[in-house]
Amino acid sequence: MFQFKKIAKLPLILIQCECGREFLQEEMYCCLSCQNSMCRYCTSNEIFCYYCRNCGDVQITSETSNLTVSCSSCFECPICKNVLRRQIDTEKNYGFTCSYCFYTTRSIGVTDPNFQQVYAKINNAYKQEYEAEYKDFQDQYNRIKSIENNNFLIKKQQKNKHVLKSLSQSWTKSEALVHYSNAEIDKMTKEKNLKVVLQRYNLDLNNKQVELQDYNPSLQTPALLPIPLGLLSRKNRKCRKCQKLIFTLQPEKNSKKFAYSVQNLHYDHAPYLQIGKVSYVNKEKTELSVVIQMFNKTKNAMEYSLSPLDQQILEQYKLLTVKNLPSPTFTFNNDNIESDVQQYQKFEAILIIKDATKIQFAFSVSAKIKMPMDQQQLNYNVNVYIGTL
Amino acid sequence: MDTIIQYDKSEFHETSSGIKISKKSIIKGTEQINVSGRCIFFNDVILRGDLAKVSIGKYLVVHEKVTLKPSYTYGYTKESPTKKIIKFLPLMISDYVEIESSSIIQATKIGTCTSIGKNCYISHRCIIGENSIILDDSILPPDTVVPANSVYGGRPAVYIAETPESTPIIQKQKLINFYKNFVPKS
Repeated sequence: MFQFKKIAKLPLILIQCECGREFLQEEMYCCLSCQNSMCRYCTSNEIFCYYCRNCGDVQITSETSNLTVSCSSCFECPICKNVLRRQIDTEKNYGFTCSYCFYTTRSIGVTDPNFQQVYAKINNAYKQEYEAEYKDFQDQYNRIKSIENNNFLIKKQQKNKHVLKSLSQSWTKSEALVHYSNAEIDKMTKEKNLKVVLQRYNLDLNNKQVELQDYNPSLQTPALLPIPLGLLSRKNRKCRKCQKLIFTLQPEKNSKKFAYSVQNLHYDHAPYLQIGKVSYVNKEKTELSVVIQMFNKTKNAMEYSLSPLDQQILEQYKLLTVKNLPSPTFTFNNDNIESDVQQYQKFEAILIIKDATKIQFAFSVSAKIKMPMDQQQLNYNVNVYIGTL
Repeated sequence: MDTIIQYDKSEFHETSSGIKISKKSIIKGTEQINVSGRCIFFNDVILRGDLAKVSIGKYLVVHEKVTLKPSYTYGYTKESPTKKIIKFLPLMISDYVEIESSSIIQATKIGTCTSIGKNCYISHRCIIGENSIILDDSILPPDTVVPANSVYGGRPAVYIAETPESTPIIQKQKLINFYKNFVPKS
């Protein structure tokens, strides 16, 4: 998933999650039942639907039982991975082309005056190419299974020797009861000229590894068949601790768009911080003043309190001291919601800088949200990065 | 901290609806151009409204050396049923879009809250969904469809990642603040 922290310019305000990662204020989520704000890595995903990025065809996981991995009508160029589009020849034959690298299915011979027959030809070409390999794989698999069964039977026989002695006289030797050694397996593969697709058959047969021949794809000509386009997914988010939904999707009627029915962002339940002004106080440039503004962008009234971090944490991360924090509590009351006027409070924090190249300080903010029934509280740490001056 | 950008009043036209266009930009066919308001067009922007209709939403920021051109298809008309003729399609740009410098755009539709990077080439008949990002130096081949909430980049542009759910909030704040801080010199 894309992170806006990579594009953002200094000075920056980032929120630190419990896992230690830092994100922008808008990218954080919050769970009101756990009273905790969390990042995307601390939430779990549940797939809601699969969709094609070209045609927009949607498969909702709860409604359909036969989910497919790729789109049935869209294909990808095997050379440049661009989505292919339809083409009509002068002879009125349909086919697929790439508008970037000019690859065409005509070069393979997959064209037809009936467009639906083109799909059938592509499917048949895939079957022909991979049918031989699939058969070989099935033969190898069955043979190895029979070897495993034989070894299992031999073990049983060795345990019950006295039983076998009486029985073996009546039995004739058959291939099923022969224990194949590695050298014998190699002989059999060479005699029958069996092909192996990939080095996937390193199996333990009584603690002996069987390594079969590798398939060499460079000997064969590459098949330039168009690749079926893979589907993308849209997901719901859940809190990992309490398993409650944070973000849920809902399809809109008569359209391929989706809307969020439940959305709990940290932005909606916490004061929004912004850096106003940064300047040196001294001529010697040892003291710095930073003006931080806090906005209430929610519809609810809010009470917040600031607290500095412990000295142990400051020493551990070589953070700087913060002076002149404002009074502990202050209430936001958003009466004029319709006129779009947002209350904010300014406060100055004066720092003592040690290193001029990197300046950062941190303090923790806790906000109480006055909902109609409950008073809920969110606790989180804020890091402010200023950069060079 | 939002940096204030000051401009010379003599170098920019400003309309009553808040559109700020630099005098060094080239705009043709103003009759067919429809802009909602509060847009900024920097130097050397080329906007071709003479070919087809252009409709633009609010809070659009177009940086230097960008060309905005309607896309085209080949078709037949009653007057010439056998000969192929070029037909120009209308260009639609939604609200809260940012287009970085030196990019060429010939798309049919650009959705809300999108950002297009530097030196991009968006070919004809492309459709860009909402809340999406197109990275710098990317080329979108003709007829590509960029779905909503996606990041595309490369040559040719390919799906790279998904954007977070808060992209409309970030993009709206960024462009509203950019417009507020784009202030004439006192």
